Amino acid sequence: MSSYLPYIVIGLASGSVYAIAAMGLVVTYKTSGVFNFAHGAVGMAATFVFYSLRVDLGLPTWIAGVTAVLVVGPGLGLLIDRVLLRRLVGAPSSTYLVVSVALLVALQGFFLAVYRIGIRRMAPILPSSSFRLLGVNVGWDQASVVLIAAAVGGALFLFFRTRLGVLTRAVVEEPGLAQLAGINGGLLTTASWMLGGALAALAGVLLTPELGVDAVILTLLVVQAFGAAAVGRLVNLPRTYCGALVIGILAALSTRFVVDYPSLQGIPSSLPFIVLFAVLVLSGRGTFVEFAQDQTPQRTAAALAGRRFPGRLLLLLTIGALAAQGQMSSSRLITATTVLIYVLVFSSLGLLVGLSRQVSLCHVVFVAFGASTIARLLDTGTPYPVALVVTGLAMVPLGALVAIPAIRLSGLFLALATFAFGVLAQGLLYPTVVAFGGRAVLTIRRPTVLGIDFASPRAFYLLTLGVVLAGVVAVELVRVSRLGRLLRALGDSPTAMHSLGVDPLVPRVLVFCLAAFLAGITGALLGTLTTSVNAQTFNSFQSLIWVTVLVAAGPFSLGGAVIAALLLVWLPALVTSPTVIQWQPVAFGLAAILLAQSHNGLAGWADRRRWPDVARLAQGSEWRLGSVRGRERLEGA
Amino acid sequence: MALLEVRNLRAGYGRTEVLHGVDFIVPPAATVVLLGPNGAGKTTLLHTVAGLVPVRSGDLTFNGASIAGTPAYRRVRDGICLIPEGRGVFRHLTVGENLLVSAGPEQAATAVDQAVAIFPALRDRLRLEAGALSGGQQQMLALARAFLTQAPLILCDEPSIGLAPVVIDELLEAIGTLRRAGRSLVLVEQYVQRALDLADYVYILSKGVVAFVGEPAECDSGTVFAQYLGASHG
Repeated sequence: MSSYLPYIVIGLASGSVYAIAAMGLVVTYKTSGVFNFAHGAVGMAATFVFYSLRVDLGLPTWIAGVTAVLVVGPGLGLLIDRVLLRRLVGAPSSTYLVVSVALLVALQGFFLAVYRIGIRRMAPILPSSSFRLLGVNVGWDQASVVLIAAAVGGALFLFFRTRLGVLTRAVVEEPGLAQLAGINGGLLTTASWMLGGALAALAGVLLTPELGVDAVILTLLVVQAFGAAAVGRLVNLPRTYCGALVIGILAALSTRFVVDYPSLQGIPSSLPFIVLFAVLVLSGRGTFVEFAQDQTPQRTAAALAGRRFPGRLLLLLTIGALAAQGQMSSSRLITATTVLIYVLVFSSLGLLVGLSRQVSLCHVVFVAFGASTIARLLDTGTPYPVALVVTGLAMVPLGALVAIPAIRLSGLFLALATFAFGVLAQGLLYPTVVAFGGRAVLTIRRPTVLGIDFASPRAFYLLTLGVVLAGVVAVELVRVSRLGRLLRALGDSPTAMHSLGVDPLVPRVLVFCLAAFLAGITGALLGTLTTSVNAQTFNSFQSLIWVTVLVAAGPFSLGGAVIAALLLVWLPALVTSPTVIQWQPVAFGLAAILLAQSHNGLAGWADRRRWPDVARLAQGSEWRLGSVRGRERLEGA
Repeated sequence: MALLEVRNLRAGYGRTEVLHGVDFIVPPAATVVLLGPNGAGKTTLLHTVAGLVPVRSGDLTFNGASIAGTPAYRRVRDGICLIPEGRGVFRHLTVGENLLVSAGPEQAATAVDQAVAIFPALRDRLRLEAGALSGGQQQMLALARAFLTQAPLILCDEPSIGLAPVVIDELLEAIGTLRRAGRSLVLVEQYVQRALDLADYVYILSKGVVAFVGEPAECDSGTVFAQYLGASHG
């Protein structure tokens, strides 16, 4: 037993930091009803300010700490609430999700661009001397962190028992009714966002001596708080606190056990996500309450775009793609092929994010598994066309496995589960034989089909064009089919769908599986294009960027998918400057924040000119027009 | 001077205007019953007075001061209390917590005692989530706010909707208590005859305008009812 004690001490300390971050997350969710995916990014931003003040400017530690925790963190919380979220009132909850994901992407991109990749070290902020307790050396820094977290937890727990605490709960439940009880709900919500920001900042500052300052690591570490928050069902503070400690201890203990098994080395850092995923999978329906936002119906009319089969646009794009390839050099052709593949990537993602309003944050994983699966299938001598289809089909059960437990719960939990799955897949599955296996690079030979050799860039471009066209036509057919209408209607009112005798689970899971199928095929194509793939090619964080690009470009139509692919792939190839690539995520994130509520993003601008009647419908004016006409007729009669 | 004075009020939702210039007066310590068919704008009028629906044009004066621009939570402090239609309670808070929220900070300590004195049925259920109460008990809990706030003007939107007759008796009795205590009441009610028994004045709204103003006795002629409510009501 005594040999485990040191691990428990380490685990309690790191668990306490998770607890602070997780309780911040729970406080904002509980009082605003908005789950903040950018919670970790807020902590990361405050920590960078802390670093700059303390190390670059040489200010005393306490000044830097107070500025980061009491000014920067709350300030960001204030901005998020007042600038970003107030605009969204009345939007569906998927819009809130997209905006907070976009904020995460933008903030992380900004700090990566300014501070560059790489871990910066700094001197410890807490005393590192130690004392002995029960025969174990306990650092004063560890003891302080545990005490700070316990104090924060105790204070918050008591706060929610006071009258003010009850008021904040009243606000999130029924904002209108709370107003009638004389509560200034806006003020309370803002205060809770500021508190949440401060706690994220505190967690970030406490983590730095151990881990160093790095935009990617810090964002992800505070994100580990998601696991603890899930244990507390996103609303229960004591359970969240205990969950965080347990996760910390389990993670520390597991480092001891995985030493002998190199393939399991991902376990300690993935543990919070394992917990997150397990909690979501094992929870029964109704155990998680997603606070319903007041939703004004006119906004959902934005989904009207993509209601017709875009035959002319498809024809135009095909002719354009065929004509363009004649003029391109072979390096340009490779870029163009990538653009084509990404059109299908975004088209399939649009089925989820646009058509059915399901925010899926693990699209990259299906693409990655697609690449590795086809490599293995081709190794066994399977003919290419068969391998391509089997690769897609292999993603279907995987998609169902990820989607079914979460879709049961609701949109927010699908986003959380897919996010957790993305991180887990990268940490645990990529290195195994299921995917890439160790550090190995998988090679894929470009195929010969029916005696035609597709090895040359031009030939493979044409093959890709054919496959992508087939995929895109399938997506567009779904959009105009009964399944598409059901999904659109589900976005409007799940209750109405229930009363029509439609189980909402079935169409949602179907479309998720279709999206996974198509994503798998794009992965196979990408792998064949680059001819060698490894785990580093497919960072699961890329999924978040894809969602923001697509939302900015227009998630509801084929045009949006094309614009997204051009923005993500063609633009950096056209302007080969490192600055452009660095700032790309920031631009995507900001654009998604600005356009999240618009009528189909950038593609919507084009649509509005071409189909003024659709644009007017989307604004909800057509309905009024009809009723006015009807009244005139009645009064005339 | 009137407690509440509404002049030429226009209000609505989105692009739809519901109230097309309504004049409406509530004297101090008077009970005004507001009648009218579905869609006449009764609820919109109450919500506009409470501040949940913005004023498009017209005047809204309470206690001699214009309140057209003040947010809803301030109007509560000024003394306007709206009990909205259909279970105006926080379902996931306990009954006790609901009462705590309803009472102002000064009354937080005595809120529970006051409420239980009026609605004894709540006594044994203080620790239950409000969502677990029966419809009638939820309506009592909602109405308890009117007693706790001390607001001089109480707007009550269809308190009897969906409730059993015996429960309605108890609720209307409680409303009568408020009336005797000298509070002004605006009551929207589907049981017209029972409402008229309480009323000092009657307004009838139709299609967003006031179609009739008068005293309950004048309503008995039946002509007004035949026109706006149909003869079967009452």
